Amino acid sequence: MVIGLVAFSCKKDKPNPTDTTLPKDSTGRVLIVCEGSLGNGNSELSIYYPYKDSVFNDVYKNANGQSLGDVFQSISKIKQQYFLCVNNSDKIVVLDANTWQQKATIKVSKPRYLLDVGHNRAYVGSLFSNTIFVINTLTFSVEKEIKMPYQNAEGMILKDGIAYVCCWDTACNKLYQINTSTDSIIDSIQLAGNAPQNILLDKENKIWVMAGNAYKAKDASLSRIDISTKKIIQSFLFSKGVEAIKASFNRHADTLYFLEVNYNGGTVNNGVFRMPITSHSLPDKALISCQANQYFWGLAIDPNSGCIYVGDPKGFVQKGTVLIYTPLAQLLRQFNVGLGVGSFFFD
Amino acid sequence: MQQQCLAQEKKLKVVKIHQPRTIRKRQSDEKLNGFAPGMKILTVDSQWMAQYALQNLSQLLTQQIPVFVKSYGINSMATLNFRGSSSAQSQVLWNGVPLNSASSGMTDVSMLSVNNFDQIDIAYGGSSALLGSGNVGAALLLNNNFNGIDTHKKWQTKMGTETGSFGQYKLSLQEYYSSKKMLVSLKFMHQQANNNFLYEAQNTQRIKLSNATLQSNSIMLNFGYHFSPNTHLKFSVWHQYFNREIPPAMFELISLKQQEDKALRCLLDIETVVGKKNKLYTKTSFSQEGMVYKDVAIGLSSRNTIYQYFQEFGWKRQFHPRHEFLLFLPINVTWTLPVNDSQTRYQKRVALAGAYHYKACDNKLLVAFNTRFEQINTQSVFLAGANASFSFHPFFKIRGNIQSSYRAPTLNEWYYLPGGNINLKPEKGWNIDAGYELKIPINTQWSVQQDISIFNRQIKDWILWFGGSIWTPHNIAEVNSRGLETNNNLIWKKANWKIYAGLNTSFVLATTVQSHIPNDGSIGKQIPYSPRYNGQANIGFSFKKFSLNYNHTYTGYRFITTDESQFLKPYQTGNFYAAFSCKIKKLDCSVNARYNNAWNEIYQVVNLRPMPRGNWAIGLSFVY
Repeated sequence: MVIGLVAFSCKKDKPNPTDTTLPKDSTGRVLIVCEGSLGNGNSELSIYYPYKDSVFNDVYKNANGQSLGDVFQSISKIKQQYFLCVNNSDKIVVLDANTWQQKATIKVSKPRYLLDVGHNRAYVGSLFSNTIFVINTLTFSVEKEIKMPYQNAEGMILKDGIAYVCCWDTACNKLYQINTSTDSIIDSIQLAGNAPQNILLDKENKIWVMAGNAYKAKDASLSRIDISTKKIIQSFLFSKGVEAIKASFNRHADTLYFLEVNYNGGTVNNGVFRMPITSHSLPDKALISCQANQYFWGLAIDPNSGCIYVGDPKGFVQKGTVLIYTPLAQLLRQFNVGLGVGSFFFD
Repeated sequence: MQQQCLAQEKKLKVVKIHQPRTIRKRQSDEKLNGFAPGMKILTVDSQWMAQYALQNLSQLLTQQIPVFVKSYGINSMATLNFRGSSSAQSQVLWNGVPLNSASSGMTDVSMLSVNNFDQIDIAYGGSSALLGSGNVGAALLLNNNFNGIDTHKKWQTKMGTETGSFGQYKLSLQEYYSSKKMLVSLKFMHQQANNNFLYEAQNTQRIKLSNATLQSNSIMLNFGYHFSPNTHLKFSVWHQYFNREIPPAMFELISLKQQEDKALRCLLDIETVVGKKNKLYTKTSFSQEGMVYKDVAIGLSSRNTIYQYFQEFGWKRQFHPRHEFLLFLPINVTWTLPVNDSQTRYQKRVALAGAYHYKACDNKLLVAFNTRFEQINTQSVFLAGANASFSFHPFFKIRGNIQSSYRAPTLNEWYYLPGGNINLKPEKGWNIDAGYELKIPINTQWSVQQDISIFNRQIKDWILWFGGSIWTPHNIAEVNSRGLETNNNLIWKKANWKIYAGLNTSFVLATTVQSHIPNDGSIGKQIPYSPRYNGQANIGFSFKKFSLNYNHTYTGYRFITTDESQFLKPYQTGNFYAAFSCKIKKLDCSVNARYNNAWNEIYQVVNLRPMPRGNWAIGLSFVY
C-alpha cells in the first residue's frame, strides 16, 4: 500500500494551465480555422498577428466558456461578424468580431462554406444534402432552401449577382449558376472532371474549378472557364489517384497554388504546388515538398505580403503547425495552433 | 452421558452434504494452467461475479479491476486499456477463442453480460507467444464451466431481474441440467433501457439525453459430455442481438444514429487423455458478426459482416514428473467484405507454438518457456517468452515474466476504404513484469492479501490512425509503458460477520519515445486515453444474509491528444450495493439494490460524451 501511495505521488498528473488571454487588436490579423479531429468536438479558432508574431489559441473557448464544436470547416466575415461553419455540430456560430462573444447560432445541417450574396442574405452549402440554405444575416435564421441537382454544395463565388456553385458529388461534372435575386438555378457549365470542390476567380475574370475525389476513384482536374461563353478554355487532368485540394490565388490572382495530399505517408504528390494562370500544364514538381509521414491540410496566400501559409495537421491527433514561407518558398517562421489546421482568413 | 448422546443423535435429522466432486481449475485455459506460473493472473472474485451478475463487463471492470475502460457513453462502445495499451492490444478470449473484432481489433465489453460467464480471469503481461496476437497489455479470459458434471443437483433454474433509473430493465433466465456424463446450460438475457437521463451541457443548461434506447437479447447454450473418463467434449452456441440508438455527443444538437449488432458464435472443443502422460485437444470455432449502422440525418446506412474460423490442435505431454511440454497449432482465418469495397478481404494466421514447464524444489520453483512462429498472410513473426515463480512460503510468492508481444494489423487497418494501409507491419515489442503475492492469515479472524506488480513494455511500430476526413493507419511510433499495480485486501471474519476493505491502484506511464512524424509534439507525452492514475476501493460487510458494499473509483487525467494539449479532468464515483438473501423451501431468493454515482459526479470518460449522475436499480433473483 505504501509503494502504491509513493507511486501515486511520483508524477504530477495535472497538466499545465493554458493561456486564456484574448486577442484585442482587430487589424492585420489572420484567423486560423482548426478543424479538430472528427468526432472529438475539439475544433478551435486560433488568431495570428503577423506584424507582432503573436499567436492566440482557443479564442472561442476562452471568450465563451465552451468548446466550439466538431469539425470547424470555414469562416466568413459579414459586417463585423464572423460566421463560423461548424460542420459536424450542425451549426453556424456568429461571433462579434471585436469581443469574440457568440451572438447567435444558426441551426444548419452539416454546413461547409458560406457565401455572402448581399441584402443581408448568405448561401450555406451542406454536406450529405442537396440543399443550399439561405440564411438571414440580421435575424440569424434560415429563410429558404434551394434544392440542387446533386449533394454537397461546396465551393461558391459570387459574380455579377450570380452565384457559381460546385456540388462535390462524384456524379456531378457541372458548375451551377444561381440567380441570387430569385434563388433559382439558371444554368450549368460543363467541367473537365467530376466532383467539383473549389472555385476561384482569376485576374482575367476567368473561373477556375478544382474537382476530384481520389478515394472515390474520381481523378482530380482543373477547369478554366470563360464566364461569358460558359465554355472551358483550358483543362488540366491530374495523374490517377492524386488528391488535389485547397486551390488558392495570390494577391494579383495570376498564380494558382494548391495542395497535393498523400495520405499514405509517402512524399510523391505531396506538398504545395504552384502554376501561373497562363500555364498550359500542371506543375510536375512541388514548390514545398512534404516529408515522409506528413501532409499539408491548409493553404492560403497572404494578400498583403504574398507569403504562403501552410497548415500541417500532424495527423489531427495533436496541435497543428502553421508554416509561413516567403513567395520564394523560404521558411520564415512556424508556430503551433489548434488541432487540424485547415484554412486561413486574412482580416 | 452415553444415553444423552444417543438421545441427541435420535433428534438429529440425517443431513446429506453434497459437494461437487470435480475440482475447479484456476483457469480453464490449458496454456495458462501449466505454462504461465510467473504471469500475474487475477481471477474475478465470486462476490463480484454475483454482485455484477446482471451488469455488463464494462461496469464490473471499471469498479473492481485496475484497468481503464474507455466508455464512449451510454449505449456506445466500451473498450479496454490494460497497462497503457491501446484497445486493440487488449485481447479478449471466450473459452480460448478470440472475441476481438477481426475488423477493428477491439472488443466492446459493454455488450458482454457478466452472467454469461462462469469465470473471468485477467492474464497480465502480454504473452503473445502463448495467447496470440493482440495480447500486449493483458488478456481478458471469459470462460464457461463445462466441468460441473456429476454435481448433486440434476436440474437447476436461476432467474434474475432488475429494474432501475432511465427505464432500465434486465431479465436473466438460466437452466442447468447435469448428470454423471453430461452438463447442459442454457442462458438467456434480455436488456432494455431508455437512458434518457439529464446531463449538464457545456452552457450549463440541463438537457435530457435523447436517442439512447437499448434493446438486447442474448442466448447461450453450453453442452459438456464425457464420452469416457478420458475423453470430454464441450460445445457452445452463443447468439447476441443488440439494437442501440447512439445518443448525441455534447457537440451535436441531435442524433439519429442507430447501430444493430448481431453475433453468432459456435465452439467445439474435444480433449482426450492418451495413456497417463499425453493429452490431445482440438478446438474449433466459427463466428459471424454483423453490424448495421444507420444515420438517417445524412442518409447513411452501412452494413458489415465479419467471419472468423478458429482452429487449434494441441498436444500436452508430461515426460517426467518435473517436465511437461505443450505443442499447439492455432489457425485463425478472418474475412469480410469491407464497406465500399468490391472484394472479400482475408487475414490468415497460422502458428506453430510450443511451451515447456519445469518444476523444482518441491514444486516451489516453477519455470516456463514459450515460443511461437506465426505467419500472417505474407508476413511472419517469431515470438518467445519465459516466466517463473518461487514460493518462499505458502503465504508468499514472487514471480517474474518476460515476453515478446505483438499485434497483427486488423482487416480495417489493412483494407478499410478509404484509408486502409496494406503496408502496415505488426506491432511488436517486449514486456517485462515482476511482482509478489502475499496472503497472510494473521489469526483465525484477520487475513491480509497483497499483490504488487511492476512492469515495463516497449512496443515498436505502434499503429496510429491519422487523418481529418480520410483516416489512415501508420506504423508511427515507439511507445514505452511502465508502471505499478497494487491489489490490497484486509478481511475480518467472525461467526456470521465478515468485514472487508480493499484497495486497487494503478500507476501507468505510457509515453511515446520515438516517432516518424516530422516535429512530433508527442515525444515524452502520455498516450491519449491512458490515465496515469486509476484506483478502486471497496469497503463492506456481510452479516448472516445481509451484505453491504461501498465502492469508490478514481480515474485520473486522460489526454485527448498525443501532445497532452487537450485533456479531461479526473473523476470519482461512489457506488453502493446492498443485498439480502433468504431461503423459502427449495427456493433461494435474493433481493438487492444499487445506487451508482451516489455523489452525483458530473463526468465524461470520453470527451463530450456525458455519463449519468446518481442512478439506482433494484433486483430480485431466485435459484431453484
